[in-house]
Amino acid sequence: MSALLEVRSLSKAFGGLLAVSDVSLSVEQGEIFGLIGPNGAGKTTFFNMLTGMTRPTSGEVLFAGGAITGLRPEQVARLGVARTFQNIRLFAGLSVFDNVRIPRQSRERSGLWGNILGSPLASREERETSEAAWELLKLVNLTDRAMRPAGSLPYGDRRRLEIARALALAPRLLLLDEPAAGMNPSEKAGLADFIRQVRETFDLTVLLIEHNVPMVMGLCSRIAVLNFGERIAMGTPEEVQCDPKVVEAYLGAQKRDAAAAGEGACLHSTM
Amino acid sequence: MTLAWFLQNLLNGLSMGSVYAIFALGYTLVFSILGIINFAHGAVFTLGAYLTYLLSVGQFGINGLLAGWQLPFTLPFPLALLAGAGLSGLAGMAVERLAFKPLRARQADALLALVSSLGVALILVNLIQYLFGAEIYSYPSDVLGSLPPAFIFKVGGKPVAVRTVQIVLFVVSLVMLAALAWFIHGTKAGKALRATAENQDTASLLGINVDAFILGTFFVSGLLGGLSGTLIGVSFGLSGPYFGVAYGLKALAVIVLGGLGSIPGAVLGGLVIGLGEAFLPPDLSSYKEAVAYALLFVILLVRPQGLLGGTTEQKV
Repeated sequence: MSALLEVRSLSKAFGGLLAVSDVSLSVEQGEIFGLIGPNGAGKTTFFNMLTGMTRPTSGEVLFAGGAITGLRPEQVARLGVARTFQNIRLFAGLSVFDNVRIPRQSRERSGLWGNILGSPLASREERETSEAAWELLKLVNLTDRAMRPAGSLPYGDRRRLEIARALALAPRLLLLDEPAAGMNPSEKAGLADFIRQVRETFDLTVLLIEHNVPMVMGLCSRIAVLNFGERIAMGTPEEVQCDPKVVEAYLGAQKRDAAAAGEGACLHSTM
Repeated sequence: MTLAWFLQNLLNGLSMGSVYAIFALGYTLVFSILGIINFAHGAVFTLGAYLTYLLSVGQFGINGLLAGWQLPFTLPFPLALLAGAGLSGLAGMAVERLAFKPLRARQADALLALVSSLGVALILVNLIQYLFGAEIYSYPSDVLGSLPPAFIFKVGGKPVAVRTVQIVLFVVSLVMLAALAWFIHGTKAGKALRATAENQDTASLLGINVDAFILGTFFVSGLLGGLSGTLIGVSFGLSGPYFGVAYGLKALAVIVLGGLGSIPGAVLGGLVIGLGEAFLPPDLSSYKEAVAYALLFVILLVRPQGLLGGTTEQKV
């Protein structure tokens, strides 16, 4: 195992506010890595820096051994980093099918003129893109609604479509920002299975932001905890779960004191 | 109120309306991708008209810096039209790089981009005046080569006249509309453009080079502006460096009337205003310039979002 993603002392200041402060972590090839923390802990800012949407104030991001700090989002995407959003961001006016085709199109070699004149390369690439998109829609059970506008899908389907769209980039690293937000426990269990299955099928590495502690505990091999922009803990779910700092961040100081006194205050790991 | 009278006004209205439509589409394209009105669009319209005139006639009058200067070559009108439109497209790209990109990179307020595009418009118009002077130019009567200046046919015993230039206006505009519709809905670049218009951040995270698409959009917008300037110029002459400003205001009425950001809306809005002007009774013809805003006022009373605008409309 080697680190696919390595983050070194990453910081982001918005004016005087340090949203992310000196965070380092490394995610191994093939791992499902969890990033948890209370609201406003800097998790999404952290994702934005990994994907080139926000420029870090200091620090470095290495992906597959190369520095990606300061690259533009589309450059990071083309290197194989895909993400989803906490508030789903589909192209609502485009069809479900087109949503999944667009990421692959941007990697095609044929240009505008090839497309307009129907060159053999462009036709072949278009066929391949459509086939690949169709396979992804099968995976998320959306083939029967492929031609509907993406905005017309119900919530759960939009979540799955957004993941399928991220997969259409053929990424090596998949960043999921609170994929279980707004789901009930059985849907969450289904999503966890889906994430595992996707990781197996596409040989992916997954970095997951999640609010829901039980889901992360069950799904991830390692976890980092952010609070007020700082990494306050990192380790296996078992290690992190009973860490007094983590318990305090989530449940407050009282419980931390209880944990320190050996009374076993831990974050619950059942859904 | 005869059939001939009706047909005559219908043809006049369709011909002008189609030019308004493609001119207004230049605003719409930029608006749908950046959410900003590009006030330099009217100046690019003027620039296109002057460039095509220069390329096809070869010289500009007596007042400007270039008075008496002769272009070493001239182009036949169709080629000059294409070249003028292409150069206007490049001017559109320059507007994006000078007036919009620096502000966007610093995440400035949208209002500032509006002001800076107005600034670019003033610079362009004054540059044109400096170089070419402020007098009125019109094309020589043989600009369309051996084509007759008008076709006259009789309907119910009354003559209906169609100027050849009007046919050119209508056909060129229709071709542009068809090409644009096909580009946006039929090509993968068009799909990526629609995706970019919906959400730039998301598009870039999916590997779309948003910056290149913005630049391309300004090229097409400038091209449409220059083309419509040329068409109006060849039809009515070039009435000075500021003549794009009046048309620019009219095209703003077109896009608001049709529904901001809606492409079918811009086309419909253009035709409505073109026809509205054409059917204005002759004794009110001195109020022609007010037609666009009067129609806008009445329609917005009934549909505040414009004819085809809506909260869930597809932008490009």
